Amino acid sequence: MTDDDGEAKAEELLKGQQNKSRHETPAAVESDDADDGPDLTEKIADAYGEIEDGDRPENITLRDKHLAALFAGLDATDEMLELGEQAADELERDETPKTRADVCRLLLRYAIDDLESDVLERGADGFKRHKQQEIEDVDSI
Amino acid sequence: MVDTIQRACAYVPKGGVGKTTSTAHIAVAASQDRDLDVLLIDLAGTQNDLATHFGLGDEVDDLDAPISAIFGENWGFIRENIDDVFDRMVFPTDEGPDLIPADDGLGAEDNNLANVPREDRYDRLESFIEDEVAPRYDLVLLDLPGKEDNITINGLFAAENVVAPLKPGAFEREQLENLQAELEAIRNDEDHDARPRLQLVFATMVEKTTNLSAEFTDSLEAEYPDIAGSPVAQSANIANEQADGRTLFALEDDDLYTTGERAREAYRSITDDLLDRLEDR
Repeated sequence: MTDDDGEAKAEELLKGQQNKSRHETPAAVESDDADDGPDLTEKIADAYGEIEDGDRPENITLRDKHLAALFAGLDATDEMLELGEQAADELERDETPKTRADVCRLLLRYAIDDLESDVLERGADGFKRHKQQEIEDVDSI
Repeated sequence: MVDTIQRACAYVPKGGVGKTTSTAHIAVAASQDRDLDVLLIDLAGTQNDLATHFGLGDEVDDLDAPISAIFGENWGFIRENIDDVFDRMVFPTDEGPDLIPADDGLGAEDNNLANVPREDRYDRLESFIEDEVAPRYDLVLLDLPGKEDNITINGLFAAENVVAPLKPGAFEREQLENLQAELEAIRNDEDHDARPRLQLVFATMVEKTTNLSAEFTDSLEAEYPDIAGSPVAQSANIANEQADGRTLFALEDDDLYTTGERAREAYRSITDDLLDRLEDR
């Protein structure tokens, strides 16, 4: 938005202010964040169940020729595992990657953690909730 | 100009007690007698009584930049994109103070504030005063609605110092007790940081010849000795000058009735008391 656009928009908002009246304003709504959309932890727990039931694949696939070429190059030069180890260090995970899949998992986790650190935590919470649900299901039999 | 802006609001949860008249006269006295840069902000409904009091009724009929905008969600955007928006809100009076008049949008914004989380609901006016008013004025006086709504609490939060004019009467006696209780309840409300305190209370429309007025003013001074201000005499001059868009301070001494002179002196004294208390805080 240019400066002129911003000023024009602001003037429009200011002009509209005079026409507001009490009886036309909407009712107050108390917003509860927990009600805004599905709960991530709960959906992750559901997904664990679907994976174990065979209703959902447990692999993630993606098609990207540039990443494919990159990993092929890293593998050929023995740099791929080192990259994976760096990711494990950053994540403070006590594991040594041995395969391309190990490296990819660590890199993906590292990226998610870097962007939104609580997402992985909620993933762990989802797993716990799934396990809890399994125990409750057994107890109810 | 003083380093920190002084603030006060006129608030009584009842109409017709002389709140607007008193606010106007205190503002003029502060401007003329103490040479302060004074801003009046009218938040007391949509009738624009303060503007009428200063003969600005026609000028504020179609406002270019209404004060109600500062309570809305678009204020930040408006302020960033219109450099002179504050200047467009303000109207100079002929008696010294400047005035920001009330507007029809205040009722709607009071309703809209109910949709805002409590922790963000009551500091809109405070932010406006800090950002826009404090750099330009020595004293800001707010004329608040005669009821406890979201606009009023914004005003109490921003001003904290409450001035309560009261008309003599049996119901009005109770009003002061109710006001004290209401201010205490607001102070104890943990949803916001407003801590309003009654700084000055005084009788208005006092008729020297009636027992009611005498008893009322005596009881105010007896029960509230630390905050009781001079009683303001009932005077035809007040209503007459309001109709002409002026305060008592616009008149020469010869043009005032005795009651008008007494009322004007009372407002001078009230203003001195108030400003002394504000400086002590």
